[in-house]
Amino acid sequence: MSKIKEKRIKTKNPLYRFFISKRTAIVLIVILGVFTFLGTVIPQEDVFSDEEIIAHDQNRPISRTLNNILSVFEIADSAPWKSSIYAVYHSWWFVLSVLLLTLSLILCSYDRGKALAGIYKKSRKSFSENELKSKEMSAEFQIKTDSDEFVESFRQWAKNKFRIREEIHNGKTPRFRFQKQRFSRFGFLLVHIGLLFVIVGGMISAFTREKGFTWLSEGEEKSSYFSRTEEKEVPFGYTVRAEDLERVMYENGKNVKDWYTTLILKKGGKILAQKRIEVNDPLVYQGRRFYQTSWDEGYIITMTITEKATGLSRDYKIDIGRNLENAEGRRKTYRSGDGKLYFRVDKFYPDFRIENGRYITGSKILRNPALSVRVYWEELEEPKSKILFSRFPDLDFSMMSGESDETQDDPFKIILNDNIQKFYITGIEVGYDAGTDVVYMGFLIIVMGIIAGFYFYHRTVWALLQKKRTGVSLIVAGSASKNKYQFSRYMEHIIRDMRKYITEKTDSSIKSVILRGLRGKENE
Amino acid sequence: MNETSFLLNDLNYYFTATFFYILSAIAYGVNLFYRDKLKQASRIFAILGLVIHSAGMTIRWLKAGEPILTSLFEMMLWFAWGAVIVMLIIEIKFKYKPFGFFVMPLVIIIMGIILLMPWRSAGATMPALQSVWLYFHVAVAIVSYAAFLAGFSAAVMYFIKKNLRKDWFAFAASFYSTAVLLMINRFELITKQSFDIYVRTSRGMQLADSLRGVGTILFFAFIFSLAASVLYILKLSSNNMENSLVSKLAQPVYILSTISLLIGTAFLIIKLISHPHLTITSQPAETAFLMSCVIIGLFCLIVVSKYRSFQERIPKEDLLDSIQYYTVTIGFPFLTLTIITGAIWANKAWGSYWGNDPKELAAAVTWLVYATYLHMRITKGWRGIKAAIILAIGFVAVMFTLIGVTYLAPGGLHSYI
Repeated sequence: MSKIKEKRIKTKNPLYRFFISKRTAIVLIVILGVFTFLGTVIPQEDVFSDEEIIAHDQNRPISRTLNNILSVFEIADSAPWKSSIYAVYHSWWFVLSVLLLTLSLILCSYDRGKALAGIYKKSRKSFSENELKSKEMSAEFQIKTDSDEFVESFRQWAKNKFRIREEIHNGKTPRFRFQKQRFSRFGFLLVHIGLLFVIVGGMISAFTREKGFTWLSEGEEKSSYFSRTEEKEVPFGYTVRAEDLERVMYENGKNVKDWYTTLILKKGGKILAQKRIEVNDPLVYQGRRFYQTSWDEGYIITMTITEKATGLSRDYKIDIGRNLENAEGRRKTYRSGDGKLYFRVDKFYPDFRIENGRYITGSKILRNPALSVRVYWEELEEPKSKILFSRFPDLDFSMMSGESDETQDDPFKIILNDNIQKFYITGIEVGYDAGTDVVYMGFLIIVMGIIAGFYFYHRTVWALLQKKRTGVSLIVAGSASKNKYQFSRYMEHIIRDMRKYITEKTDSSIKSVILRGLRGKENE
Repeated sequence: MNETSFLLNDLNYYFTATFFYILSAIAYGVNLFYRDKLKQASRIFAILGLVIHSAGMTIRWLKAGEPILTSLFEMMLWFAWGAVIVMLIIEIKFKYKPFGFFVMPLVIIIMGIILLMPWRSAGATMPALQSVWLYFHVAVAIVSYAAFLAGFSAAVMYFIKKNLRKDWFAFAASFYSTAVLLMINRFELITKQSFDIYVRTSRGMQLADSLRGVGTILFFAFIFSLAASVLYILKLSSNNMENSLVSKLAQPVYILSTISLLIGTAFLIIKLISHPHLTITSQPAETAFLMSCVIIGLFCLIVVSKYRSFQERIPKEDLLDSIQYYTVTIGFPFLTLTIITGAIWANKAWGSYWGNDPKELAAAVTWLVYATYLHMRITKGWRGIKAAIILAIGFVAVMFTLIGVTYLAPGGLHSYI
């Protein structure tokens, strides 16, 4: 331990010393902790949408209190730090402290690595009696014995017992040294290196990450998905087909247990990959991952539009679900009657109800299917909102007044047909992230480092045998990098073994024992 | 709750276990002040509580037919369970019997929170939560949190042993009560002097009842706590106040605040139970916070009035430091594993190993706090009391990660737990 410290203090320029100092590390960790804490309690723009934040506020009274306090910040709308409070992880001060900590990590790892490099070298350095006595824990035996024979037999016994590799035989006073679990010294170095991997992986992720989404119905094939990162449709480079959509429910019939989809990736008629995916078990192809994340029900409806003057009618088949609610809010405008009528579908209610003056759907069961549409024709000044009921084709319901109005004059008659079909759609999350493997590598290194660093400890034990007039003096000393409490138990154990060997296996007897920093009997 | 048999309803077991934990805490107290008069009773009560607690969880597990690791309710059950086990391990390993006195109050608070939480039957887990990685994630989290709880207790003992001015304990308790009482009903308890109970309906939060009496008592509790906080901070800010009026008033005011809190909370619980439309779980967060105020207030009151005997019975600093470090050597690796397994699971379920979710971030803050502790412990001049303070802050971060995030920070991936 002391050796490592000496090397450090001698080194180089003040800037280097600043970055390898533990105090700097502590200060940087604390700063980072404070920023992360801010990011935790203040809703971050990149994680939550405005609606989510508002919805959350209504449900949690304590959060409302917090937001009231936070709204104080809103007063200072022009303050430069205001925008960064809602995007902590993109602010320059956060990025700067991460970079500084990374620099500190690199330099500390280098410094520590250099200091630890020589730890496995065999040392021939001798040691003296006084050195051993000054160690934290030591035991001094005075043994009454026929010296030469005892020294030799004890030497052989100890060599086998403790697997001693470093033996210094200096004339008539043998010295041993053995070390255990030296690798544990590298534990915390490994943790720091692993952290570097995680940070680098995170940076790679930040630049390469792609997240997107697609909805697929049974047998449907798609060649592109909607990318959230780029906010547009992005081609796969092949086609993705969904088959055998399946939903498994719990016995109670209310809660979903799992969703399954068989995904088939094809290019030019050739199957590239195929897998039955479920939640928590994605399909991976060339780094791109396909996750089963959600499920929805869609409806195929048919509308019939008749032009009253000519009697001409036409059917429109529309997919509800994928085209409206789920497909990132895109809506399509339909044209009819030689271009005289335009209409757009607003919302489909499988089970139409009015509650507190609002239109809602009571369930997803087709009990009272209704469709709200917005229609527009040439004579009209602004679009008309209508609600169509498949069970009541003659009821003309205006969105504005909530009652039947003078629609007899309308040039068009719109009917929602009763042949509504229900189908399932599976929600597939598409993701690509080149940093994941690097981060996982970092995780592995961290776990290895933590196991080595926390659950093993480096210990060194020295022994010195000296011939005296009345017999032999044996000094055993030990030191450990940490875990002093357990180490003292370990030392006591060694001393007990030695005591037992000396008294039972040889003809010698122990005159006295002096213990330093250890517990046990001092006299026989 | 349509359980027909008393024995099959696991909630009854948690009630009984809590009762034994309270007995055990009292026995620990008697042992601490009267030289082990009750001998092994404290530990036997704790073990009995643990056995009943485990039985309840076994029944829950068997009924669910899947690991019960998927809701905050279950997480808290495991947390209290783990804390008692870690406490017993430390008591035996370090041969220090009264350790339980510093752990049991926290365990009782957690059990109280469990009993106040809206009861949810086990099973029928949503698809994303059915993963081996999740089970692993929650299991290691429990070990880590339980160890940190013991570490916090050791830190509190360290403060007492190091002769930290005892007024700090009284100040901490009264300040905590002041903050909690302020937060209740978004300052409305203080402004309206009535305790409003809201229940969730399909139309959002609706006012169910206004408890005037409870509100008035708690309002007085607030006034006393605030006054005690101010008096103690005045007392602490100068050294020569020993005989002044401030110094003489502080403790009686603090005692008054604790008593009024106790009465107010007891009345609230009685009101909730006897109310026709409400149950004990109608106002979980507020009741739990009030209950924690009472227990912390009483604990600190004992500490303040028996400071000398505490100091005598608390072991040497280096043993406390060993206990602290021991808890971190369990807690920190397991917290690291918690974050790692969580990341791997998130990557499997949602395609991203890190989503800046509030719970993830809070865990990261906690990790950073304990990393700070580990660095401080090996830095000259920053070990000892400073490191112990960081350890205490670490546990606050743990509690924030576990419960605070759910109530304070906006939802996210962990909104169910």
